[in-house]
Amino acid sequence: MTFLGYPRARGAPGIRNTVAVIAVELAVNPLAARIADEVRGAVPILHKQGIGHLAQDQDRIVRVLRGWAQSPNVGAALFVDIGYGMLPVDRVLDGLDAAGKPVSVIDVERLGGLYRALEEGVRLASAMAQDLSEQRREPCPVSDLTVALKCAGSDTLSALTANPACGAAVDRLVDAGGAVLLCETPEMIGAEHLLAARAATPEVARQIEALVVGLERDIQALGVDIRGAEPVPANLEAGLTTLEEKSLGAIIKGGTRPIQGVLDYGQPPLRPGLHLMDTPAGTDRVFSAAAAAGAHLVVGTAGAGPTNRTPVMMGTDTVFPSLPLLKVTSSTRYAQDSPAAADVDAGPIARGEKSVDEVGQEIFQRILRTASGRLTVAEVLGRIGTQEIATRHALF
Amino acid sequence: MPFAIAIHPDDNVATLIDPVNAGDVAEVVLGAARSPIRASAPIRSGHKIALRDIPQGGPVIKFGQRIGCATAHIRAGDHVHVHNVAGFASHAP
Repeated sequence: MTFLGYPRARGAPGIRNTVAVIAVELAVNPLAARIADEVRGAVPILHKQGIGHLAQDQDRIVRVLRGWAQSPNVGAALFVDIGYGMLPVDRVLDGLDAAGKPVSVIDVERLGGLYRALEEGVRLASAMAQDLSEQRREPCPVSDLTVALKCAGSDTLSALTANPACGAAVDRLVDAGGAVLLCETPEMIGAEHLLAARAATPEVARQIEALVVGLERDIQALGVDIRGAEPVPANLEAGLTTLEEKSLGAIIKGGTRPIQGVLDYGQPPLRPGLHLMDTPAGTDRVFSAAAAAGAHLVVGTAGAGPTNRTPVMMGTDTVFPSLPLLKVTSSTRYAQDSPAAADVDAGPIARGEKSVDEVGQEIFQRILRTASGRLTVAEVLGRIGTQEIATRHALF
Repeated sequence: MPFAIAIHPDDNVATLIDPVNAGDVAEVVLGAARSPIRASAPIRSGHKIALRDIPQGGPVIKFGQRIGCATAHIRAGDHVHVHNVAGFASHAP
């Protein structure tokens, strides 16, 4: 089983081949956006971090920035750096394995200001875009694919239709040798015993328990109750009653295969198979981590209709430029609600018009077609904005 | 007939696919099995209906798992939601 991807000198092939113009920190977002705007084939990857970070958050942001450039869907990367920031670009480049892809840096301070940096950035990015335009897709094994998972606007149908179908699709991918990232630690609370029971080793089972209990302890240490924050109002409106119910439904999208490991935020998996990745539940924060971990695309299961009329998903207003989102809707009513609502409709499962396995096969086939170049609704209709990198502690 | 889906044989709630009015009988689908339940109140689609009586403090079971406990006595056919169920919230020791 193959798809058509862009081979890299090492590691996984890309399913997109973008010139990523990556802002190292928020101060250079406007410059990175302008450079990308000038260059066909270039996309800006902007974010809001850059000041007031404790060491562990700095480490995380540096790792995520490095991961965005290493992402297989990025054919060439241009870092835009202010030159005297709190996130030194040297640390990002140190240990960066671009697998032979071109990586450049422009330094606003060293170049003598915004407009000189803009000119130099356009010069570099346009050369990258021209070089990438000669690369061609070639057949690549499905085992090279990494897919991350996200649900949004979950309703009680999500657990009956979209999530089981997504699970059936990712079981196929795991069986074919691919990697899958089940994200959103808060939505594992109350389901951790079921996840731990599927751990490939006792050590992984301990890591799963520690991950979920650790988050609960962090929440308790703040003196707050997660009830009131989860389930979110749209979930409650749709009939989801407790966080346990939401979690037990959410983990179904991860399928049924053994869990091979627990990954830190944005950490790439070292082996194939199903993994858990520690992320918050916010959509933008999941996408940032998934891209940094080397995911090729995100399968997003979408419930609660009105909030999912947008091309992206509830909880975000922007697409991650190098990471296609494949939307699977929980109900046909929602799927028909908007041209932006769904790539695959899992709604017919509810009334037995299609089986979970049938829709799982549809999603799996759509993953392969998306990997071969078919654009998703989010790619066609979505807008590129500013991404979110989740940090633990903000000082300023 | 409106219908509802139960996921696991141990479940004491089912998810309504169609909305029901008080007094409506819904068909509960559990795999190949079908059984009727009479709704005691209007319930929107996507919301849960009790399949059995659940005493106050008793577990509410869906997916064969405890999703919360009853904060009031729940009768078969009742709407099951935040007004009569609370989550366990924390599992941390």
